[in-house]
Amino acid sequence: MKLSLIMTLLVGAVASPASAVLYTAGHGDIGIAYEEEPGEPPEFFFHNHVSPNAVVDGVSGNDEEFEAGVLTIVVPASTMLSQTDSDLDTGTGVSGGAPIWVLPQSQSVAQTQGAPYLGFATEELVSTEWGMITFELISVTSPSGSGTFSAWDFDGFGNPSFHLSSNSVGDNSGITVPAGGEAHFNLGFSELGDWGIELRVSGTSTDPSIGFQESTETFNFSVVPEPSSALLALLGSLALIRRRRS
Amino acid sequence: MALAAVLAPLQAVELDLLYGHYEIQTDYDPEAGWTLGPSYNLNDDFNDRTQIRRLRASETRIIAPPRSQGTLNDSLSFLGPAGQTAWILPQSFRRDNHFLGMRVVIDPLIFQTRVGDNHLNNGLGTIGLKMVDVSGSGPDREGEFALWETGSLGESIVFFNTQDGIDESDDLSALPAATHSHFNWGFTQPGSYHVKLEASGRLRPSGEETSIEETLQFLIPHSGAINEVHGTLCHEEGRWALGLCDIENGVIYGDRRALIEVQANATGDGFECPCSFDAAGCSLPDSAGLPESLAQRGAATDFPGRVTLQLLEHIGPGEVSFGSQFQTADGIDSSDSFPLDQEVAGTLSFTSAGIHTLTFRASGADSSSEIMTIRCAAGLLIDYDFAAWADSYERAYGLAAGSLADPEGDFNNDGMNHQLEYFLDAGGADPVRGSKALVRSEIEPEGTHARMIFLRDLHKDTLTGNSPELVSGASEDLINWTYLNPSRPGFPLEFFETGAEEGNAVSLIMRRALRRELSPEGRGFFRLLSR
Repeated sequence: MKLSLIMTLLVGAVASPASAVLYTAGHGDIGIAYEEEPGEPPEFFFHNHVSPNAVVDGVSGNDEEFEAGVLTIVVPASTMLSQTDSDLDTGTGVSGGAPIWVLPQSQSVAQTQGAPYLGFATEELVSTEWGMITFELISVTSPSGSGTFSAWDFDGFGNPSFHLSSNSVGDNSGITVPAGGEAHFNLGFSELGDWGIELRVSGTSTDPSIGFQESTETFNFSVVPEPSSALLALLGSLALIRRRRS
Repeated sequence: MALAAVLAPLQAVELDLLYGHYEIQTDYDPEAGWTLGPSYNLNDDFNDRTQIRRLRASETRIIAPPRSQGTLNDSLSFLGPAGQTAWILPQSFRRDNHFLGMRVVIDPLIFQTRVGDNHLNNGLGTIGLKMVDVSGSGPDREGEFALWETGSLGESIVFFNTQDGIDESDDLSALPAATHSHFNWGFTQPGSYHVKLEASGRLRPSGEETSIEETLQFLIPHSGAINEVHGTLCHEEGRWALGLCDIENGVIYGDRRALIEVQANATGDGFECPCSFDAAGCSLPDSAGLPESLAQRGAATDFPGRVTLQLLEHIGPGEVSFGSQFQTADGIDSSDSFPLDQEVAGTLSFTSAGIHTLTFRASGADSSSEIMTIRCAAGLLIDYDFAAWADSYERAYGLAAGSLADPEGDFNNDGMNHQLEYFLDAGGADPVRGSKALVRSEIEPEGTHARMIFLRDLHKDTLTGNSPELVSGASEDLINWTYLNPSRPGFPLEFFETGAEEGNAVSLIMRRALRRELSPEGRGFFRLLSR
């Protein structure tokens, strides 16, 4: 059944980003865990996580984790909006009705668009053992070298807050999520092409022997001019870097 | 710190949620049927159903925290006009607010999939969620409720809205079998909101429709600030109360749940406000901090013509007087007492700005009350800051200026620093004389959980999670402590700060309970501290 689905989706495949595994729809997270590998001391594991309803390499049904950089998060053409809100000009780096591609904060909008519903998750950290976890923007590699990546949301009264923005250092407070939680934001990209978003995550354990922990990784995004459902990547020796959640 | 050991049993109370990440969750199981109500995840994996804890909608009150309050702008005209005060629980995570989502946990292929007006036996299946009624004291004072989503560029997508009436359009339709999304929940008046929802779906393959109705409980707190004294003595089955009636806003406050903001008088040499006392009870839509039945039963009913009220103490700078009924300038004695066989009205006057605590005792026939308190702020507002608090108590006790100015200081060496005493001022903390009965701890009747009861003033700590803040904690050995605050909200059924309030409404000065399971040894300790 799985093979059949893959073969069907191979029809119409288009040029895909250079990295191998494509996440094209459904719920996933940029997540943090504190865990140990055999023979290694425990440390922050900063990674991608996809839920069973996520579509990865054209198939869904798996609850998996990927090391950062292995997965490419596809931002499909259906997410393109015309940016006319002046309150968003500085943060997004887009104004005057120019196009911006936005992975939406809303799950229903993401479903309608057939786009990834990407969040920031701290669910694997026990809330009574960790406080707030902070995700900070370290660097952005954009297709042209001058594109803007940003993450924002709105308070209940409709006022925007930019948490990450490569165009607005002064309003770049980072994303804070309590341990044991998850939060979603609008993730904006100002141009088509492949992006590398370098993030640092940090938090402090209530256990003094663990204390402050941090990790920095680069996550890959690809803003494509085609519907994401037509994309597919090569299936390779990915088993080594894909981890099914237990 | 304020420390309390476990003492005696207490009646269980409903669960109150004041901040944190919760869901309004809809479940359907072919054997167990529907459930609809608040839920949360213990930890780890949101997809792991074993981590879900479900709460009963009828027993769970979702209280809007202080930072949910704001002013509407034109973009939210569906909720109310620009400039109107509103309380919004936002779809975006904010540490100082609720993060209330909608979640559907139903196996695929149980329900038909709705596409437009058609229902099909393919796809994963969908359910619908409708708002069928909104009632309560909030709507009764013309409060509106809406549920909407904010789009990526700030546009509002409205699903439920009472301002245009409740009809078929109040429909969150075609929710997939497994979905989780967040919305804005908006309210425009204080009080209670009972939001009745109907979840429904059509079963495969027959198309048979099945549904459930459940009512969610929301509370928008009253501010607790009033600008005149309308005190009414209440008595029911041996229990006394001196309620403060806010007629204009339709709420009666129990002991210490309100503060009278007293303005400067016309001549500028003092502060005064209208003041009246009676023994008639008060029937208002909302009761915060005392049972509704007690609030409505005046002491005159049980003790006709024989009710008196006596001023016992005034703590505050300068003097206070209420006509011929009481004056503190000549000392406080038995002459500062007056009958309440009919309403007594006049002017309450203070000679000095600051925080004033007046304590009274009521009596009728052979019954007399416990100490009852009225708190006033002359020339201050209810959210007076630490500096105003320190200045007021320094002048009240004739201390040198600056004696209480250090938040970390402890003038009377009682183990509570000034910052903590400021946070607990409404509850009776006194930086000079010490404080009695600020907290108490009790074992619940079932014997499985213990709780610490205290009064939290949300004007002083608005739950931002930033320092300084009032945190509650527990320990089994007095060595290892676990504290809760907006960054670590705990879990309602495990270790949690919940409500312990009486009445159908709440003030921003509200009684809270830190609740935790007892250790196998039956031992537990609680504490409050500022940090």
